[in-house]
Amino acid sequence: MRIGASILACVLCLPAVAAERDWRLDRPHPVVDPAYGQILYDYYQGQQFAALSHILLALETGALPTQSERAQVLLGALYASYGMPGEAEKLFDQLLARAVDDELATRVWIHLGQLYYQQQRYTQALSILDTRVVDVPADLRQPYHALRTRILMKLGRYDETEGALADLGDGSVLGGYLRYNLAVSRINAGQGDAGEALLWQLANLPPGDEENNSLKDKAMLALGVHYLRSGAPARANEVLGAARLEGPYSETALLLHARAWLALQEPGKALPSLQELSKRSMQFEEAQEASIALPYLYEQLGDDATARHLYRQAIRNYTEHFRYLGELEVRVRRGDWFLDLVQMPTWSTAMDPVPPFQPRRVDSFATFRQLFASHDFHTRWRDYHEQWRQVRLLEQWQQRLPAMHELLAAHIRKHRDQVPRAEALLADVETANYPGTLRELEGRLQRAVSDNDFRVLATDEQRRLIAQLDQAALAAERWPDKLAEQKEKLDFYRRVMQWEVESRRVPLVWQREKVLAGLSGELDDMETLVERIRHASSGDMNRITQLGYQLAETHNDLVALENRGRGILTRQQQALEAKALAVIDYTRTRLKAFTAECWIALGDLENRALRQRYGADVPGDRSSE
Amino acid sequence: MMRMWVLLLLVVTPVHASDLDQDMATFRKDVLEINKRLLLMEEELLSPADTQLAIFVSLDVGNFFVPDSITLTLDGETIESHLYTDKEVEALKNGAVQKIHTTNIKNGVHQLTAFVTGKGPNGRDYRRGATLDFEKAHGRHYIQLKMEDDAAAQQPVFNFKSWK
Repeated sequence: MRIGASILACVLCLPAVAAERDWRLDRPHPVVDPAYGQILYDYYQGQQFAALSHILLALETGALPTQSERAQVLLGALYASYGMPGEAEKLFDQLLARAVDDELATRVWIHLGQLYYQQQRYTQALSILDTRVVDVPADLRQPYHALRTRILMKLGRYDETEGALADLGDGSVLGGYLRYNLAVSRINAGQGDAGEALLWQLANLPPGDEENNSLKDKAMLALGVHYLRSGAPARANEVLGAARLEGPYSETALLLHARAWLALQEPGKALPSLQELSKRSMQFEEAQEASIALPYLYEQLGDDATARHLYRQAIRNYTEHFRYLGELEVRVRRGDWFLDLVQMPTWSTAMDPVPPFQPRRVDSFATFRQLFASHDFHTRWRDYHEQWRQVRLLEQWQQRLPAMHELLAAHIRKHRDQVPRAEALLADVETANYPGTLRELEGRLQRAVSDNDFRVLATDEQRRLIAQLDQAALAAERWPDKLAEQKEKLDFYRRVMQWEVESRRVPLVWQREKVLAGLSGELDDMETLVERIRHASSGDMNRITQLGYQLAETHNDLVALENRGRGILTRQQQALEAKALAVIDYTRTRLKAFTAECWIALGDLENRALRQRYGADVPGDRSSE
Repeated sequence: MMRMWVLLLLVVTPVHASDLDQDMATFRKDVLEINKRLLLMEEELLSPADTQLAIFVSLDVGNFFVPDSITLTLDGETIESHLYTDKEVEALKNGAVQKIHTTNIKNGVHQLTAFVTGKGPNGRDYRRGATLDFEKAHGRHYIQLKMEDDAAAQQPVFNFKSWK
């Protein structure tokens, strides 16, 4: 029975990985602020780090005047999926404490539910979804129902889970994986019939892409295990006989197939599956098991000679594999295994997303096949590469810092060159006193208008003539008797001139006022420019000085942070290596047990042979015990 | 029979917050913070607010047009050429906005031209240019190239939106 349970556990380990992948918000968001649109541009492309950075940047610079809260909801969701649950929870709590609108609050509650699910707080998560979320936003419908399905499954409320699955809708791969998980959960909970029905739904799916076929294979395997466990080996045999001979589940299927024949009391028919398995690499656990099972079968069939031969061969295989594990352990402890396995992803920039999980196909790949397939390993592997990306980002910034210093120096040079010129210009403007001059001109015009001083309205030529007339009149004053006639003439000319000017008084006054108004406007523009120059020449230096200090501080922070990052990288590598070492230890223990069993079996065989040859004087064998 | 049923076991470690996870979370927070600081400083140095021109691209609906590439010229000089990936097009179709270029320009009158190629109605190759004359005043200036569907004409239309 234990084989069934363990294989079921093994078959169960993958869906979580595949199911997690589909948790995204990627449905259209209405964009009002361009900065929010830019954030979505990164987010929809799966560039979490870039999206996070741009949200923080936009919030800092006030670039989200209308969509700040929406961006914060997205920020919280990104924090949660980026391994920063503490930050996410803090942010969600802050958002909910504020009076955000209902639609936004619903989004926050759904994300908070997801966060609680990740933290294994299932009851709280379900309570939030059921009491707080009334109308699920269209773009969150699939994540919401998937989350609710998972939570109900974890709580063991399987009937409700089926209802939630129905809400999720058929056809999606995510739905398929959740159905599979539910089926296996129901079987393990003693609800075999319900689980079996769900598994058959999956097994009967039409052939599709690789993922779809893999899901069908898993369903068939789970059915086989279920039938074996429930004492229906004939049905198990039927299901497992249809399994594919290639693919990641073929070894398990072969072993289970043999098991089904044995359960049907037909050991002879179990032989082909075990023979096929024994040809495969000893790195597969199923092949290790087949190595001992095969001679046992021959022994059962009465072929002691072949059994003896195969036991010895199994011992040789185990010994050789044991030695291989020793060498592998040395490689793991030296760090060579990790270096072989890991591929340094190529990023065009440090803001790019982490590439998908692709450990290099090294010789030891099959040894750790199940480890590589586990959710935990995937998470650690992704975290390791994410860490590398962050360290690379810090390196890149350090490389760019000299250029930034150079830019800053250029700004300072420019500032030093231009500020004195600006100050000289400001001094000239101050000295020229343009506003004072304008005020004086305006005053003169006003006075002339009120005093009827026609001279102010005269043209330059007229003004020259009037001045000459005035001079002539002054000269005529010296000889009033002799020049009385000329004086009258001059007075006449002057009056003619005055008449000529004053006849056009209204348009001339309007013209002068217009000129003065134009000058006033230009003076205002000049004031604006002067203010900008004054601001630039004073404030600019403060900004540059601040930037200089910030750059200097940042350099030290970058170095310290990079060192911290490298320390974490080392710990992450050690954690992954520890997992590999645990697999090696576990395999060794198995091999030791198998080898001991082989030796015991060989001893029994020899004992039996001796008894047959020499009669009853030889002590009895253990196989009868 | 015991040796027949030796089990296949899988090491499944439950996901829980370890010290390492906690340290990673703190580290990520610090990296995001310093990255933000540096991006702000870089923008301050490279594109001061007074001279900054930022150009955005958006795609509305996208039934009649799917962009392949875009080339931007400012006052006759090419300032940006971009080839779109499927992911980028998908993001644009979902309502995202691409900040395609940021530059510095003097105040005054300028001309921006966008040459866009892609697949037009019925999957035909499509190439179109659009021009905007604008005046850069004090402060940041933003221009958005909006690629929209004209349902009546069954054609894409390319419009600029300019704001400060």
